[in-house]
This record gives sequence, structure tokens and C-alpha cells, in this order.
Amino acid sequence: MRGQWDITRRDFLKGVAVGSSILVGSSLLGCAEKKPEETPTATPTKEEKPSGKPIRIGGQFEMTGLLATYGYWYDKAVKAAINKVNSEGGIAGRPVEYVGPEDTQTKADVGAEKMKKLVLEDNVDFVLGSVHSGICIASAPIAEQFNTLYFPTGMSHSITASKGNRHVFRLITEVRLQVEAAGDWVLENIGKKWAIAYLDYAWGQSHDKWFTKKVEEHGGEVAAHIPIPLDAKDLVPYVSKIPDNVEAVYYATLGSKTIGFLNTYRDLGKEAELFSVICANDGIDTEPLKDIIEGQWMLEYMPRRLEGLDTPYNREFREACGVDPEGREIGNPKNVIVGSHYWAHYETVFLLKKAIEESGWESKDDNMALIETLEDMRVKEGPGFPQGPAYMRKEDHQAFVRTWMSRVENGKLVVKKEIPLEDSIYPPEIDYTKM
Amino acid sequence: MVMIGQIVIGGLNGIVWGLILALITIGLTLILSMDIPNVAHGELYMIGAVIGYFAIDYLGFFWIGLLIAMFTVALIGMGIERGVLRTIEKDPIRILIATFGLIFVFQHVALLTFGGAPRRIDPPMTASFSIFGFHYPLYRIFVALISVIVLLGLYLFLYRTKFGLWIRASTQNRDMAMAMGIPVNAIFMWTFALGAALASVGGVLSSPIIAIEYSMGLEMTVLAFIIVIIGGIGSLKGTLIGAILIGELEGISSALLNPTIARMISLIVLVIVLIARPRGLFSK
Repeated sequence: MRGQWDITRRDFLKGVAVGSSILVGSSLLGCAEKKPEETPTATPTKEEKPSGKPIRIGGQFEMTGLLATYGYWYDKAVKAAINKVNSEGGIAGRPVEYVGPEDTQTKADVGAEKMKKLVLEDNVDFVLGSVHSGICIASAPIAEQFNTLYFPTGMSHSITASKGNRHVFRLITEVRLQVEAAGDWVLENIGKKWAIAYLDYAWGQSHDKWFTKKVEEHGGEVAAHIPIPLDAKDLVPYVSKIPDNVEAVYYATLGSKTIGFLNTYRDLGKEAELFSVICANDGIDTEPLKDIIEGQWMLEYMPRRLEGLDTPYNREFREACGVDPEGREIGNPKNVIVGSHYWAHYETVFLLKKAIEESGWESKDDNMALIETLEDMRVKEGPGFPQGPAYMRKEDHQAFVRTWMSRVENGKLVVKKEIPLEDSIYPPEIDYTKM
Repeated sequence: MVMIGQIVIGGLNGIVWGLILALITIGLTLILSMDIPNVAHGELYMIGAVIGYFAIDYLGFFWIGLLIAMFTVALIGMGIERGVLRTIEKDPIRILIATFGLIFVFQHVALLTFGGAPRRIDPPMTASFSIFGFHYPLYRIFVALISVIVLLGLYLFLYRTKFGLWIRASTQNRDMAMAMGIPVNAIFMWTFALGAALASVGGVLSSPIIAIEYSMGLEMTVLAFIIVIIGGIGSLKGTLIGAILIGELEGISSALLNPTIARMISLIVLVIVLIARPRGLFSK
């Protein structure tokens, strides 16, 4: 069928190919002080208005694309933290200025460009980074090259191992830490014979690798490893490969793939227990999914619901971000927090405040002193640190924090066990201080 | 036995999923037959799912929500044809750019209203049946039947009605059709609306299976174009066969092989088909 203006098949395919490549791009997509026993201070009273040259903190977040929910909440958390810091006298008496958010569009190439923009054009002093591991890995060398401290939130293990450097600090958990934290408990309490279903890229493959090791340590068995292509839509071909004789399934999926996985799991009549890290479900409203998610176990890095961590610091943090006790946005209850992630950038602002004030940092010229101050820092739960105690390991700049084992009951995440940060520590693979 | 069961389930699901893909893609085939390279077709599918979600959430009735989504997206389709495409209808490059622009518009409207997190429409039925030791959901069979009925209805509409004849005449030779007194502009507008409505039906019906996300349209656009190109641009039969071929290739090969290798093999087979039939299986 051809019309008046003839578009040839070749013209058409060329146009589609060019357009698609523009759009699809590379999308997709997985503490503070040397004196460990410092007692947290009470919420400070209002201090003098900060003055002097502002300290500029940039935000490199996913405001659009697959991980847009994260950017939305990161932005809110950083604004809340900076408002609090400025209202309490700033950092070392200087005001803090938020530059951003710079939208990565959830694409590695765009994210790296935004990192360069923040550092070279906006002249930020620090960058709070993406949740997209590919973007974090692409941004780490830029941080080192231009002497800018970078705080990524991607979960890939390599960000604080082979792909990191001395300018990169990660306050949030990562895949190996999560497996260390949850592994022993799930193997002792849920079962020893597992299937692992995971999205087939670095993040999912890491979960498969580290959890398999953990199962082997416990003398258990992984009966099936099931990679799921990132662009798979119908998951029947993959879920049907889960053997019926496994005791439990460890799944590492994200976003709509999680809902697709759970739907298909129910549809195919699978009955083994389900476990996942919260990344699979963060930002997703579990209550309407009660029929497919009820009873499953999840590792949370900070409880979604206030009930799981009801402290004055958490109440203050949630209020500042506009979050209700159930983990929903006040005024827009359909919007659920990425509760296990957004705290990290809130706390990073306070971590920086502490480190800057301790090290006497004034500009990037003093970055080495600041890095040395951050290395091996510890903080206790308190104002600015609602998630709890944290320890920033000197060698690989990975922070260790407590986590929570939760179960879905009546559609809600209910904390069943708190896992202390010590249970998640593993030997460092690298020592940046010697490089 | 387990392996046989997996192959049977893979084969059955391949047909079912292929029919669902055909339902989503058939609208694109109609629109392409008017020489409109609408790369925002996946966004019409996404917007349909989003409107369906809100309507079902508000009213509590799946089928009424489906109808609301279908008619709303048909209206949006009419608006696009009249307001955006009519003025640039003789320039395919500008149409490509304009429809790319529509992708961003639709995605950001959905991001603002629906949010970035995925959600699900509850299926209107949850029963399943057993086959070779595997459960299989009845809803999928039901959706596949709807696809068959819609495709059959569309065939009868295009080949057994006066309006269908006008559509075929207008898309084959626009000037001649105008000379014969066929209201070509109106035909194009209604055809575009029909294509958009079919995309939205696909969006709502597949939402209980694969969830709704504001960015889901783009992936579906790519898949829909692959199906159309394999089947042959403008061919309803080609779209149906192309969609089932893709569904079957993935369904059976994934049951037998590592899914990543299965995906590679299915793409290699599609490339071989294109080499053998460069204009698609059923090109006109």
C-alpha cells in the first residue's frame, strides 16, 4: 500500500533506527567520625544565619526514565537536609547551596555528562550521585579526575571495589553487603534449596553470584539460575523454569518486571517462599498487590513504615520529606517512598557537615584532608542520621549500616528482625589508601 | 516430563502472547498502511493502560474502564491526526520527528499524573487450569480469544464493508480515492483513531499481565515495529503471523535454552527471515 508521497522501506527503517537510537540510548538498566563512641547531640537550636561563600552540593539524579521515582525522592531528601543544615547555621558557618537536580534520564551517557556539567560548569564542591550503577561507574573516574568527592547510591558491588577510587564514598548498602546481611538468616529460616531469578545485567548477576556463594557456604543448593532479559515483557518462559521442588526463590528484579514476575509466579501456581532485597519493590505500593506479594520476605535498608523504626530522628526526617507513617507522600498517598534509598542522600549532607567541620575543609584544595577524615568514620543514630549507626570503611569507602528483615502482612511491610551492621561486614577487596 | 511440560507451556504461551502482541501491533499496521510512520504508537498503548488504570481504580469495573480507555485514546488519536499530522502529511521525516516529540509529551504527562512507579490493574478473572503439571491462567486465554475476535472483526470490517473498502482505497492511492469521491481526510482520521483505540485495548488487557509503567511504550514500539517489519508493512495477516512467530520463538527456545541464548537465537531467526524475505513475510 503506497500513498502519494512514497516513503521507501529503506527511508522508513533509517528514520526509525535513528530515532530509536536517540531515545533508547544506553538506558538501563541493581558515618562520621574517627572517635567511634561520640554521643549524638540533641537537635541543635537555631544558630546564626550562615554567611560566606556557599558550599555547593550537586544532585545527579534520575528525574525521568526507568528510575524516575528515585530521583523524585532523592531531590526531596536533599532539599530537606540542606534546609535543616542552613537553618541550624550551615556547615562551618557557611551556607549550603543545592545545585540541581541534574536529570540523568536513567542513561549512563547522559548521567556522565551531567556529572561533568556539575563539576566543570556549575563548580559544585560535592556530587550526590545516581542510583543507576552504570552512571555511578561512569562518574567515578570523573570525580577523581576533577578532584570532586562523589557519593553514589548505585548498588553494584564494583562501585566500591574495582570501579571506585579514593574520591568515591558510598553510604548506602550494596549487593554483597545485602547478601551478607540477609543470607545467613534466610538460609537458616526459609530453606536451603533455592532458585535464583534475576535481571540479566550487572546488578542481577551480582545477586546471583553472591547469593550462590552464600548458599554453598551453608551447604545448600541452588537448583536453578534463571536470568531474565532486561527487555522481556512476558515472563512465563522464565518463571516456568523455576523447579517445583525448591523451598524458596530469591528474585532480583526491578520496577514493572517485579510486578510481572509476581503476577506470573502466582498465575503459574508456584508456591515456594519468596525473598528479595527491597530494591525489587522500593517505591512500589504493596497493598494493591496483596494477592501476589503476601507473605514474602524482603531485606529493607530502612523500614518503609514508621512503625519499623519509630524514633524522633526518623519522625523528623519523614516529616521534613512529607512522608506519612505508612510511607506514602502526604497529599499524594499513591506515591510511595523509596524508603530504603532516599535516606542515604539526606544523611550524606550531614556526613559532609561533620567531616568538613572536623577536617577544617575550606575548598577543594583541602579534599585530601576531608577524604582522610571520612575514611573510617563512624556515626551513631541521631539528628541527621535517622537510619542508625554507620561505619565508613577506610579501605574501600563502603559504609556498613544496619538492615531489617521484613515480611509482607496484609499488604504491608512489617519488620520482623533488625540485622546489626556488624553482620553485613565482609573483607575489603581493595584498599584505595594504598593506590 | 518436566521438560515436556515446559515445552508445551512455552508453545501454548507463545501463541497466546503472540495474539496479545498482535492486538497491540495491529493498530500500528493500520496506521502504517496510511504511510504514517507513527513511532509514538507505543505511547498510545501506554496512555490507554494509564487511562484504563485510573478509570478502573475510580469505577471499580474492568470492562467499563477498558471502554473508557478505548474511546478516550481514540479521541486522542483523532486529535493527533487532525492537529499534528494533517499539516505535515506529505513529509515522512517531519512525521517521524513530530511523533518522536509526541513520545516525550505522552511520557511526561504520564510521569506527572501516574508517577514513576509501576502499578497493576487487577485481572478480571484469576482462575487457572492445569496442563502437564503446570498451571496456566485462564485470563491469558481469554485475552487471546479477544485478540482473535478483534482481528477477525477488523478483517471483516476492512474487506466486507464499504468503509473498509474506502480505507483500503485511500491507503492504496489517495489521489484516485479522492477523485472517486471518497472522503479521504475523514477516512484517515477515523483510521488513525481506530489504530489508537486498538493500541489502548492492548494496553489495558495486557496490564494485568505485565504491569503499567510510564516508560513502557517505547519498548513496545520497538517490538511492534519488529513484528510489522517481519510480517510485512501493511499486512494484517503478516502482523498476526509475525507476532505469533516472535511469541513462539521466545516461548519454546526459552524453555530449552538459557534465556539470553534463546533471545539471541530468536533474533537470528528473525534476521534470516528478513534476508529471505526483505519486504517481510506478507508484504504487499
